Amino acid sequence: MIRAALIWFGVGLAAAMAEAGLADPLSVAFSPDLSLLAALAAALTLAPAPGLVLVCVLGLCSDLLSGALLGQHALARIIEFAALRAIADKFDLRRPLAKMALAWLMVHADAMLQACISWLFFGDFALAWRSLPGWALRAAITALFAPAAASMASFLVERLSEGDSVRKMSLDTKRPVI
Amino acid sequence: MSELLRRSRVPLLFAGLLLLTLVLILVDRRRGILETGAWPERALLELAAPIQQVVSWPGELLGESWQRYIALAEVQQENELLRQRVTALEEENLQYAEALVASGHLARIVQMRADFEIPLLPCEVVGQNIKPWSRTLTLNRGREDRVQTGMPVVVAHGLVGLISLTSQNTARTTLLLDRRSLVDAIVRRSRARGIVQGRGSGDLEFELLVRGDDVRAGDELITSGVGGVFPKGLRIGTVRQVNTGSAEVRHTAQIQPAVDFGRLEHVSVMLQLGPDVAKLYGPANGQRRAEAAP
Repeated sequence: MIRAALIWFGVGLAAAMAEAGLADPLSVAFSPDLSLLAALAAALTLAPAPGLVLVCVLGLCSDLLSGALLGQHALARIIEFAALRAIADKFDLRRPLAKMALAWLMVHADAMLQACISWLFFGDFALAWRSLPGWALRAAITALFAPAAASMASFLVERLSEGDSVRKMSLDTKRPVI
Repeated sequence: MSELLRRSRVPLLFAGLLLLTLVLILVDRRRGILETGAWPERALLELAAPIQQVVSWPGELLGESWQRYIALAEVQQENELLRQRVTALEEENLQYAEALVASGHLARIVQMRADFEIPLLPCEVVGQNIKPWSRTLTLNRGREDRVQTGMPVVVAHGLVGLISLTSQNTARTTLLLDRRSLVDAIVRRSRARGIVQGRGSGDLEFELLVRGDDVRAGDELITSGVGGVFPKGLRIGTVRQVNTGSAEVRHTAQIQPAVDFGRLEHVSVMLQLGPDVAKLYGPANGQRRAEAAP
């Protein structure tokens, strides 16, 4: 489990770094929210406790990278993780369209959450009406990547669990027969 | 008891992490944007810059090719407009020079130019974080190139922001648009003074120090030099709208920034710390911080 969480941490961190790199030549509206996708994929594949810690740490890394208030992204990611787990328990999210819809919603929810957090600590609401089309576009582009991110996450988890079972088997065969 | 603890492990962890992040936000809220970041922040910045450069490279290449080879029709029109504007400005400039010589102001202007002769370091923007709640850029120059926290960042059109964090080879710039950004400014025409603050959106807010001071739509704002962070005379933007409601306690105006923050590819860092910033974050202080850091 620790190995899986560490690998996830590496993937999530690379996603957060790449996100800022993509936003430079494109435009924020055209660049996918990769760190949110990583959190989404972690929520759908990891166990709750390590998943919660992981999204919190990834959120802190996003804060450090972006220069936002330390804890702002982390707080949003924790709440999003809980919401995602609740949604995943209630709905069947195996279809790509369901994952895309969820990612689209989560980008908007993330923007609202961040705006609420900054309202709480800065005093005014950061989201303007005229920026909403940009967010909708960003959400749509992020949604396009959601099925691929989820598939990659499942693949990673399967490979890691396969590795664990092979190790257990090899240990079992070396056990002396009593 | 242990069963109860095991069952409530996840809710407890959730509550604990929520509390931890809230405490972190409250603590960080008190920290100024110029305060030097801890070593994890600098290490992440250092690590992120090359990755961001690699990721942004194909997009930049595509954008550059588009601008150079495909979007030439716009360039031709723009070129024609710029030629006309240059001619008009040259004429205007001649008139101004004549007027200034006549009134004996030329010596003062020469002195002002000398004041402004601050070495500029050209930098490439390798990453950006343009969101309503934080607006920063990552630059490809750092402490190795003498970039320090508190140095102003400019482009030809005006002021971009301030270096808020440096690592060995990279630096983070907090833009004027960031909600934590505050700049002392004056109206070029009437010399009315106030504070320009980022709103997290594409606009800035100018709050006049004296209610009822003379400010109109179209007025140009420049840095006042007060506070010792930015040199005097850097362009900030133009007044778009003055909020003159009698019910409002504050006298404010909306400012259209002089710089197009969405299209920044190259910027220049002014390699000189203002006197107040030097006292706080200058070499002696920085050395002490470096000694204290692991």
